[in-house]
Amino acid sequence: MFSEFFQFSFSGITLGAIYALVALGFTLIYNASHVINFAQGEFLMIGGMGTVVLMDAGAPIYLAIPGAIVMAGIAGVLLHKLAIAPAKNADVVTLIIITIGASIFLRGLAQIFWGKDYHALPAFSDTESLSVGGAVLLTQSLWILGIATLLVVALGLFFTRTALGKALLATSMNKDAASMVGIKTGAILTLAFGIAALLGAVAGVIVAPITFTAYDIGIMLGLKGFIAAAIGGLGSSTGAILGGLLLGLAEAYTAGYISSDYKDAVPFVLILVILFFLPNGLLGSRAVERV
Amino acid sequence: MSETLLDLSGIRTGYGRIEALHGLDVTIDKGETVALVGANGAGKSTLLRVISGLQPLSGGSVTFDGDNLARCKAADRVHRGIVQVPEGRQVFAGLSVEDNLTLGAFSRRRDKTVPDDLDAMYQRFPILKEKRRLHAGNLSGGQQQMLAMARALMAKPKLLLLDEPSMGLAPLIIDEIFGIITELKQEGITIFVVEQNASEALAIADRGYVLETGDIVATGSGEMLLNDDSVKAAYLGG
Ligand SMILES: Nc1ncnc2c1ncn2[C@@H]1O[C@H](COP(=O)(O)OP(=O)(O)O)[C@@H](O)[C@H]1O
Ligand SMILES: [Mg+2]
Repeated sequence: MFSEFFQFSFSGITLGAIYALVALGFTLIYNASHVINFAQGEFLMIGGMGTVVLMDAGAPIYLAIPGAIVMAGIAGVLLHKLAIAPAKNADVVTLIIITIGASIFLRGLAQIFWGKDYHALPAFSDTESLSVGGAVLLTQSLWILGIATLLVVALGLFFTRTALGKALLATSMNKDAASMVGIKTGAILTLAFGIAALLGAVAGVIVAPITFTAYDIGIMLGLKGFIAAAIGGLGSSTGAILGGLLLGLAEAYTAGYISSDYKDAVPFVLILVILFFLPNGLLGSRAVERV
Repeated sequence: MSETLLDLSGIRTGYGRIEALHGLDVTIDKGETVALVGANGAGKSTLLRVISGLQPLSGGSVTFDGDNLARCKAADRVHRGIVQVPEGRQVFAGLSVEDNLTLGAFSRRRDKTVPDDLDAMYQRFPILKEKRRLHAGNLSGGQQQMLAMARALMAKPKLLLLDEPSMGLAPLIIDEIFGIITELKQEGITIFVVEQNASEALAIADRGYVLETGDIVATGSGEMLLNDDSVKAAYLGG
């Protein structure tokens, strides 16, 4: 009874950590540019599929993973430089449509060059599972939690301890004033897209041993990450993390106690319920505490 | 003997199809304090945004220290010494006072003297030192104006642009702000101050310009404009 609950909670937190990373990517770009980047899910796909492709080409996993993450980072930078930045006078809705177009384009490229098959990455540890008090825990879950925590801490340090991180926050808060202190706001926006892509790619790699990866995984994972960000109150990093964990837990409990058939409906029900009672999300609308 | 620092010639710009500035000429010499006065909507902020490189030109040129700035982006202009204190302060509300100040020095962030300059700024504005850990958004209007000015000074400006520094402030605070501007003037910083509230600005200025719906309609020494009947009638309440 308790071991079951423990098991579901653990897999929920694992999933939630992934959603949280995706949601942080949405939040970062939203704060920097007010754009909701619907290509965010494709960075997970590039992380997962890129690793698969590099390993197929003979690269060992410890080179394939960083290679795929760098690939996604480049895709993020190019997305901003080639698709978003040139449309500088476009309104936000147009920019959002551009990101949808970019996601279809990236997915199409992956389908053509990397194929339509589903792939599994090997788990990072040789021992695949541990038995703790009657519950079976995947060691990959521990990797996911560890790496996600590390990334969140690193991101926190970046924003609180580095000039570049503060310049990004300043640009999010007031772009003109940021220009007036000498911040190159265009480059800062490119950086935000790059970091969001890295976060997505890492999430895509660490989750791939559990969930499989393929050219089209970005659609669902991206959507769930967006819902996690919206639940948390678009624009709040803490909210994105809470939203991610809440969504992961809700999915795991639904799959465990009700039926896994309903699992994918959970995000949509959850966002309707939460936005009905809290239209600004869990931590939204406190304008001063953005990012 | 006087050397031109900023030369604006034939400045034209607008928003969409509506032209806001119709070919202005303004020059500022090194060490001068120049005031630009005009009613709300005359185009004062637009002109300062042109100088800072945030508003594209449709005609004319901006020359600073002898160089045409046509290809110089906003951030690079700060690096060159053109620093603006924008209308409505525009401090980074969610960042601490100290972060606002260090960001002010972003254009020279590799400069080893920034920490000393921060100390000097705290001596000049003790209230900012007291509040350095607070979010800038929690300061009063007058304190935010001081922060915005201190943030600009952290960039070591050669030309300081002030957009309505007295806006929305109580008379005592306004006196304090203009006292600081006078000190900066005495320290030799070249200042271009824009005000709707003309009397204080013209009183501290060496020269002034009067802007009306996108055209310069009068220019002369600060004292002369203060005593000019038409200026008095329009901007000094008779
Ligand atoms: N972002 C904008 N979009 C459209 N028109 C603008 C914008 N900013 C200013 N204007 C117009 O340009 C003119 C000059 O404005 P501004 O430079 O702000 O004047 P001032 O600073 O003297 O009050 C006004 O008619 C104003 O309505
Ligand atoms: Mg103005």
